[in-house]
Amino acid sequence: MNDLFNRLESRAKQINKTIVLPEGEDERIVVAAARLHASGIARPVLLGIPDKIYAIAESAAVDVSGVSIFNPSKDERLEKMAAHYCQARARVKEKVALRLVKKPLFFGCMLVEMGDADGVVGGATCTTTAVLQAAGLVIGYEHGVPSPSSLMLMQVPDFLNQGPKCFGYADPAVTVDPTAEELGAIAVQSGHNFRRFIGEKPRVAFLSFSSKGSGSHARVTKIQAALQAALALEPDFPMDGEFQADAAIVPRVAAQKIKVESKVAGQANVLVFPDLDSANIAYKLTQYMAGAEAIGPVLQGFRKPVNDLSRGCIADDIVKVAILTALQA
Amino acid sequence: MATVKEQLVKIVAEILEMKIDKIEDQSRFVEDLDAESIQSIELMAAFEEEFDIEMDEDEAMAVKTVGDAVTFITQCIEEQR
Repeated sequence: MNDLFNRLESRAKQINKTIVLPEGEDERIVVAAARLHASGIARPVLLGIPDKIYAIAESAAVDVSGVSIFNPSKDERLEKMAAHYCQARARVKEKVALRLVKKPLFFGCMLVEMGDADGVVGGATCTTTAVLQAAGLVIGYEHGVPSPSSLMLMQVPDFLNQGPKCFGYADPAVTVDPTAEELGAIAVQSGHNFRRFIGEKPRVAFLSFSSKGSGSHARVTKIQAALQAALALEPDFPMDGEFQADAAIVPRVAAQKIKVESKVAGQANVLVFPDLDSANIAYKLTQYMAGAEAIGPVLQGFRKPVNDLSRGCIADDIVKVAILTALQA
Repeated sequence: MATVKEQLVKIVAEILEMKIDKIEDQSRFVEDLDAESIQSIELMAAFEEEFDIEMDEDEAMAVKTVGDAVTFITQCIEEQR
């Protein structure tokens, strides 16, 4: 792990949050839980049948004796959880809610919703859609957030010959073609999360092929509307645009291209891309062409943290996502 | 005794708060019946409860229309009899 991740891990240890791992009968998850517990990074909670989990731990030669294990199909809190679910989703009958909260992802989110845990890390054995559904239905979205999104942290090893620098890229993983309103909310969420992770004041740039009206097109108008939507949410950090990428992050270019006062131009650290195509392409190019470390993506927009794993993840990846989840809590 | 289709349509109408006669075989849950995409898991759990079956989540989520749901549920009922 690099320096940035070592710092994030140290901070996670200090706050020692309770993180639910719903796919407790998967060996990678069991190994990750043992590491999280032994290193003091977080207090992991495994969901599944205890005997199965202990057998997996024994075969993987890891110790889960200090890890909390709950069986979602037999837990004594199920009826209370179902009643809580029905309060928020009035059209769902209690028996149907009972079926839902017995599903590990729903049970895990319900533990967080009811204050028994701080965050959920799932998706090692199920789709991103399944994770987003459980989080959206049980935990719901933050005020003013119409839909979930994602943020990638990009640690560039040497930026403009001034050493390492971290940027936030949004949204490289969830919303394909955000509306102006959605893009505004993505920007605000990304700024908050960047500050949580990196500890720096966010300076959020809305990226485009145009800089402050240099281009004229419906796509430029949409980015300008997104900036206004974001400003209406009244975040306590600077946001500006629309900027070309160089005008956003290179002071010399900003001085040439941006002729109005801006607290963001040339010094942006959070980059809001117009859509999923551009954000996803940009992070992969930065990763491979600039040798940047990509950390994430983290999900954002939910009232409490829920994060998604790749189905091809290994135990190390799960530990990393658990660290990010703890820092979002 | 109500058919699988009649029972299914009744549940869809209840959860999505719509009239039964608006729900047709070719109706797509999200595009035509205005289900939020995150609601599909609630519909699936309601079908499981009504027909007393267990559905594979990935397979169930791939079902897009009312007619396909009737076929899928009928198949689950027969397999789990």
